[in-house]
Amino acid sequence: MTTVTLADIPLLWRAESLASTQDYCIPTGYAALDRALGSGWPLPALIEVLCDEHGIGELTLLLALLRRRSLVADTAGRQIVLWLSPPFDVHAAALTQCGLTPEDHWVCPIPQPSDLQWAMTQALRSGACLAVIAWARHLKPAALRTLKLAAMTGRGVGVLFRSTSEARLASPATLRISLRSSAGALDLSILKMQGRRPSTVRIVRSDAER
Amino acid sequence: MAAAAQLMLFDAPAQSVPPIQPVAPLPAFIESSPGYSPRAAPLRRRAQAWLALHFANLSLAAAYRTAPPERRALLDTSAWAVIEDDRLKHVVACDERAWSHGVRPGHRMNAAIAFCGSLTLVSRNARTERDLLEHIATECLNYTSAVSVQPPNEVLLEVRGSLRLFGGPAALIERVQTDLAIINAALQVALAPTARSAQWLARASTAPCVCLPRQLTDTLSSLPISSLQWPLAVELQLARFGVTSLGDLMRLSRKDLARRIGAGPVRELQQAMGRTEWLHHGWSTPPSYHHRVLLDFEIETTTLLEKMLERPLARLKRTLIGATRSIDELTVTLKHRDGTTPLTLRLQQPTADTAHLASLLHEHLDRLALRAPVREVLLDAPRLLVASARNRPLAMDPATRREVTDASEMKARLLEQLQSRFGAHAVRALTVHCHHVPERAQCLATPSREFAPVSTPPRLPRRPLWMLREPKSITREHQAGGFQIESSPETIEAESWEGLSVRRAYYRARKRDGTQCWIYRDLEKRDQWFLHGLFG
Repeated sequence: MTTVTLADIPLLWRAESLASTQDYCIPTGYAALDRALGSGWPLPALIEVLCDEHGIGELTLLLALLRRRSLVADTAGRQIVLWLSPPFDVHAAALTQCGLTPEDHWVCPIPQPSDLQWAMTQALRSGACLAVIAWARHLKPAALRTLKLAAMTGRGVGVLFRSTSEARLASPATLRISLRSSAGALDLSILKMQGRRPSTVRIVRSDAER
Repeated sequence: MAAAAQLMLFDAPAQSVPPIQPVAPLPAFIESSPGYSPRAAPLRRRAQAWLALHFANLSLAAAYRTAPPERRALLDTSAWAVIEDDRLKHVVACDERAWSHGVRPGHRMNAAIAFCGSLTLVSRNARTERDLLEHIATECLNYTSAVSVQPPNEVLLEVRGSLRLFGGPAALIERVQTDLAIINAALQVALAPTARSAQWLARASTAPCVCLPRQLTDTLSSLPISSLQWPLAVELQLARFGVTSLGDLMRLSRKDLARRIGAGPVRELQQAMGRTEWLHHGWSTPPSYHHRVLLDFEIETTTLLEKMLERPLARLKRTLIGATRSIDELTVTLKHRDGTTPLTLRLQQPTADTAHLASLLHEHLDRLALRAPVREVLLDAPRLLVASARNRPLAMDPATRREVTDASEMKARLLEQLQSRFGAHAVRALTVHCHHVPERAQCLATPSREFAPVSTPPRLPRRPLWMLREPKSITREHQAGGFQIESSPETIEAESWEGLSVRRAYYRARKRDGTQCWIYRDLEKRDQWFLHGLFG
């Protein structure tokens, strides 16, 4: 009596074995998160971070992504990080303490919400940006698709902060993470990661890791 | 073989013995050969080929281009002529309709009106003619770098070095004719071994004329004196001698001829034969670029305006590429019936890429609400900078799949795009500023291309990534026990003579929902608590 497992069926492909659309991965700095994501932040990608509160550790999570060296040769100049309509001021001294160069961070407040998608698309497509970080609401799936294609063209990372109420809406993003703060820890639920399964990760804050 | 033969066509004529430049130092292996001496080498002038462009109707074209649209409609339908602004108002040039009525250049105004009663008269403007001729000369820099402007209506180009590039004399002439057809000024072209002969041949015939060095004497001999545009007195005097063609003139003694008709025409003849030099002032690119576009109709939508700007931008590109120049600023002024709307593009890096300029203009025009219909557009670039050629990959870089691989150029382009959409001060780069007070410890500066050295602030306790624009009062929440303090105090003081008096004790604190905050107690007031940052 032979047992046929799913792995024996030749026409069945597992999602995890699909050729990955990402060329590179950047270690996140958290072992648990690295395991959940495969080997780190995907690149190039459109990453959606769903969180309702500010200051729960959402920026600390991204620091490893912003620290990476640019893919373009270093001699040709350095790439920038563009902050589009951030909810508060980004503090330059804190960036220095995190090992980043404040001069490479550009801030652009955008008065019209309708212009945000345009600005993010242009910035991602230009190839000048290491990452574009934006706070947006009510983006249509078609707009998200445009952003993702722009990120693929410019080979950068687009990070889009949205509210958790938009978690149920369909999205073509490469990675969707929902953040929730619980006592002394940060609960990450990975809603979608291309080529991986959804999972949840708990990151314990400790002053040592910063 | 054919190419070699073509190049040999324009050897210097045999008479051009006077050496201009000595032989360049020869490589060592020639010097070492026995019996060689530098003096024995034949000293020959570099052969020249001159292309003369004669615009018979330049004054008509210049007057038509500067006429306002409603006047142009009149000029399109009726007979018209350009008159000199002297006492007798001589006709300088006239269009075909006036010509068919019998009006000729040189007629007085009264005579011209007698021939054609409905003649529209436009007075001549020497300034616009000169501008048009200089514009033509700038365009001609596409073919050669040796261009000479000969007012009132001629441009001379030395094209010996360009013949091969453009595929021979016939191909070059055809290209020049096609490119300059838009000016519509009855272009007459001639190619000859000397500048003066080319000029005379261009004046003489309406069909393009190519004169080879060995044919020079024969071709010139057959030219009638009347086609040379010499002063009328000289022409009449020569007619009295019975001299009607240049061939007759060449047979006369130069010395006697100079005594009778003056030295000028004789010198010109010598120059035409290549026996005397004729020195020219070279034309180079002007230091700035101006272009005035008169619209045939009023434009009311920005979409149409964008479409219309394509041609002026293409012309700007031709000029820039022809002269190897780039621009770092461009002002497009839209003229309305009353008042103007200026659009200024300031670029981070000089460029000759008008597609990029067009995309920036698109952003400007997208935001713009036209307050009145546009009648006229001016393009001004205050500086033309020498373009620095850069090495580019032969194939596009497969890793990035783009033509621009320089990160600083990509940054500059992105910045220009964002600035043209959101305003010049929309994008700011963060900079650390040395100050104790946290809200003064950073400033926002315009992103610059030069990389400022990183100023490392002194070792400070941890600072929050998020900073509130205004500290928020949280005295009540704090008293209710909403904040749990997690660090020892950090006292920051600034004296009033520094512009603001600050005495604060900062703490790291955690809110009930897990948010890590940076709060302070104002030491100057009694028990007042403020939220100043979030650790993010």
